[in-house]
Amino acid sequence: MSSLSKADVGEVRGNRDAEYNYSVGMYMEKFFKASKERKLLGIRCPVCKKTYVPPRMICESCFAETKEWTELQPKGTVLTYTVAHVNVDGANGVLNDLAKPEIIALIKIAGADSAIVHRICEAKPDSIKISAPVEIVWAEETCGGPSDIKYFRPTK
Amino acid sequence: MSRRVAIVAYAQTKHEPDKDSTREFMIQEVATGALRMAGISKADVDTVVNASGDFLDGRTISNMKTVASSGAYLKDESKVEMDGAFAAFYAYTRILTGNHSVALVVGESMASCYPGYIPSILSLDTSFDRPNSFLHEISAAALQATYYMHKYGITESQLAKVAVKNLRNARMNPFALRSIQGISMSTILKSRMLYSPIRELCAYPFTDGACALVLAEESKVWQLTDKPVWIEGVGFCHDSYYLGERKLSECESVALAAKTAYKMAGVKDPKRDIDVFELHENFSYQELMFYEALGLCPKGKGGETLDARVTEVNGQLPVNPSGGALAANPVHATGLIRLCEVAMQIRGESGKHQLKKKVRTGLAHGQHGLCAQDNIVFILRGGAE
Repeated sequence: MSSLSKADVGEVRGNRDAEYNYSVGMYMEKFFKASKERKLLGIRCPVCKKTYVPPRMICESCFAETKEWTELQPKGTVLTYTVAHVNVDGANGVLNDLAKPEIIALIKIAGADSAIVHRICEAKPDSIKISAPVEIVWAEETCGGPSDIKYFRPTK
Repeated sequence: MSRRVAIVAYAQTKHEPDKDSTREFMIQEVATGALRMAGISKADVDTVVNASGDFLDGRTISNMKTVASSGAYLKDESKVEMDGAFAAFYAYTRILTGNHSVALVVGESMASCYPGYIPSILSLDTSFDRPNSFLHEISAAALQATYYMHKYGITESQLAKVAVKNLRNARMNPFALRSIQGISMSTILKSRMLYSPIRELCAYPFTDGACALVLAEESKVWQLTDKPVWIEGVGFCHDSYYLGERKLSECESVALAAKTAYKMAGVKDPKRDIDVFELHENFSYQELMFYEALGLCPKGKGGETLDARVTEVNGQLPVNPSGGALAANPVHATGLIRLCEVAMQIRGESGKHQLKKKVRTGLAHGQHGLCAQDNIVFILRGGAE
């Protein structure tokens, strides 16, 4: 086995920039068209009546195609949360310390049976509690994409 | 079941944060090590199953390059892009078909080469969670840990205590990456807070390492070993991809995988029938949830079970005498290492971490995905019959 140290050889770079053009799919297209208008859309399973947000095409427990669109209130409750003291460095994937801790939460949307992973702002990390009511803060300019939901905040 | 299959040989690398090696050397080291233990050569192997990850290896269909090092040149070879314990399952079923008698299973990864937590972000759904990028394996685990702790009153010191137990055990395991002298609750509780409640020492370490097993069909077994470790039961199960659609307070897919494995192996009461448990706990809280899912205690009693010290190395239900994944986690090899460690315990070859009691039956667990989305449970048994 080689005992070469990293300094003994030049840097060999084999990276390629590769763009993937994913389709968001028919359901997320409808979801994003609605979020552009600051509306939150979920979809209901015709069998078990569970409502999914973001919408899923298939209810996995019923193995049924979801069909019934429903507009939801842009609010919910904290199902669970974590206070992030670090974040993932986009270049090398290591954890960097955050100057200010951030709150990441699973938010159960009112009237839905699933939860959205998002951040909670306008709140102190030690003030956040499970079951706390929160509401969506929409982006100042919506574009029909994931950034339309800017963040959640405690309901005023 | 007409045919029976046993683990007849094994090998693992010393697990390290930055090995002075390459993937090919790591694979060759464990492949040749396992074959040597079985007293056979590449020519005697009928099928090779690799476990590795394209995003971790940085190449598509990454096993195309590891054909040489896994001894698979001009052989029947394929790959599982999941935990290595699934590769062992695949090799097992290939032998059960009757078309193969001897299989070599290899799992590996090299965290010193891949970009840390980025591969787990790249596993997310591309239209919402990935662009938002709040979610990855640690933040997901932290969300589940908070939920579980809140529901059952599990404390942060109980999460730390799992790490103390496993990392103390790891001190006796020469293959472990983490070897921390004088480990105590304060060592764990003073380690860096990452995503509350998960601290650095309650999370797995980035690891370079590999593991290999040789499996053989009953008629071949006795030519290869006098200490076979029989695969008596196996089950696996997949939970939902989306965290927001899962029952976060329990590991239902572990419970269902165990139920299948127990039924197949004739395990009526895991507390009575199983002597050792090697679990793939990427985060300390998961070990407590696994106690519950495996039927070692009722729901919500994982913390109490830990406090009662039964899962310690000399307890009635020893869990992770090797130190588990908190001691070393070469992704795609970790579940395979659990099988290897149980086989070592049954054969009495664990050295300084060999249990004092007689080990006849053991449970090995592997997982993959955010918050253990995908789980596999094996029941292994020693003995001549």
